[in-house]
Amino acid sequence: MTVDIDFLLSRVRMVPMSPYTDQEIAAAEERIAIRVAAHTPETRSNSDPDMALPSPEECRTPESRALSLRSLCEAFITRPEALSSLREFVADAMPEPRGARVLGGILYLAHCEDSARFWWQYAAGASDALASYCLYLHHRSLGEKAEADWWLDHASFTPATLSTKATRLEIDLALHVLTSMRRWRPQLPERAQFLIQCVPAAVGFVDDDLELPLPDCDFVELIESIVGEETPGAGKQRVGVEHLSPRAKCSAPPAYGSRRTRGEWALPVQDALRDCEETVSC
Amino acid sequence: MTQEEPSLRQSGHPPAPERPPLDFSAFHQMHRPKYIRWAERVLGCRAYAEDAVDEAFERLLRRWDEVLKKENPAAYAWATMKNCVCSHARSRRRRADLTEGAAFDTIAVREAGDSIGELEQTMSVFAAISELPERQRDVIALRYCFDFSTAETAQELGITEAGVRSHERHAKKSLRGKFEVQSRKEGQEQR
Repeated sequence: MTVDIDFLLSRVRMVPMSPYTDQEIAAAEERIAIRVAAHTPETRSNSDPDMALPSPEECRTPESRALSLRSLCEAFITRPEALSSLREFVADAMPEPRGARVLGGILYLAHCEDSARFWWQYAAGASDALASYCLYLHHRSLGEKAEADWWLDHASFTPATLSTKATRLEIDLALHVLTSMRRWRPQLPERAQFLIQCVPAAVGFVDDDLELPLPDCDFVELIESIVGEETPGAGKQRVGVEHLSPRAKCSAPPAYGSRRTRGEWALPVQDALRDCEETVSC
Repeated sequence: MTQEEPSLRQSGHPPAPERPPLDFSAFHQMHRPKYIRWAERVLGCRAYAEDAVDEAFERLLRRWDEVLKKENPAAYAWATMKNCVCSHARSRRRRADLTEGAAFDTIAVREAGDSIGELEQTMSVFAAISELPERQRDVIALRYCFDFSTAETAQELGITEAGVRSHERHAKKSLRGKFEVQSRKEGQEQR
């Protein structure tokens, strides 16, 4: 018997609450100001991971997991081969898992968490261990322990020690050190900043029902324009980072090659990506 | 933050409160009604909800500069509010989330002719919702219990609208699966 889930969910609608007026909001704000004034302010504690090295227990807060994930993404998107893996990201063949993981990392740093998750799931399904680990950290940062543990079990790293548990602790510790080092590191390289600012605008949603986050022709041009800039004497133009507003649509002229639109993602590829999205439910 | 004198002990007059920054006021005005809605349902009455939400905004105001620097202030504020509501619920010996008890406050149960039957079905839906992962639970609660739009839900949770739709899709798939198993079992029992 098919279940009409929309009918079932229509039953949970609560009776409306009594209206909340502007006067009530203003009164509440006064109460809050009085509460803050009435007590001595909290002294800064070591529980803020940005302020001091947290203790091992504090490493495991959802917020610190999110920070670890950011550090990890920054680390693998700035590696030399990251850009070449993005170039492999073509529309007429199944995307390479490494490129998918790097794209996920860029999207995550650009606060497109759901699109990042989609590409990490794809890469993890193709046995990219780092993508599985990113999903582990992402779910931990959301307090979703069961889902997180599932991905951790599927992240098969070459063991650093004889025990899986000890290996996991080692990875934890390494990330903790990496995250702490962020405070003393200068900003991300310009190229990485440029990618984070521009890539989200070049990733659009295909399929009204499932909303697959697929890169379009701007993405290809974007990557080629960066590669072009790094090739001596190529003479390609590139929009400088300082001229872009965050997530602005990039107006870099096409470097070379034919324009590919979202509609040109091959149907078998779209179907496979759709299956991927529907199969993974966490 | 400046050190405040504990003047309640010394002179008996509370210190004049500082006016919160304008962006805090705007944030408070935008989110408070929806936080109250959530808190009221979990804690059972408006007064308890006001108390818990006051505490949440007090915590945010104390560290407002840091909150603004967070990757996602809206998501941080939502988590802070839920934590406060949770601890208030525990201290009042209530379950810390929307549970089957919320079924009594649904339109369906209040307006039903067969209110017992309706109640039973609605409670089972709430029970199934409470088993979802937290993010999916929040999305379903805001979208269906409180009838928030996708945009409003995204704003409260600090996620994108596409994210809301994705969580909703996965939640519905999971719920559908649970109810299909249940109805198959009931079908077998009846034979």
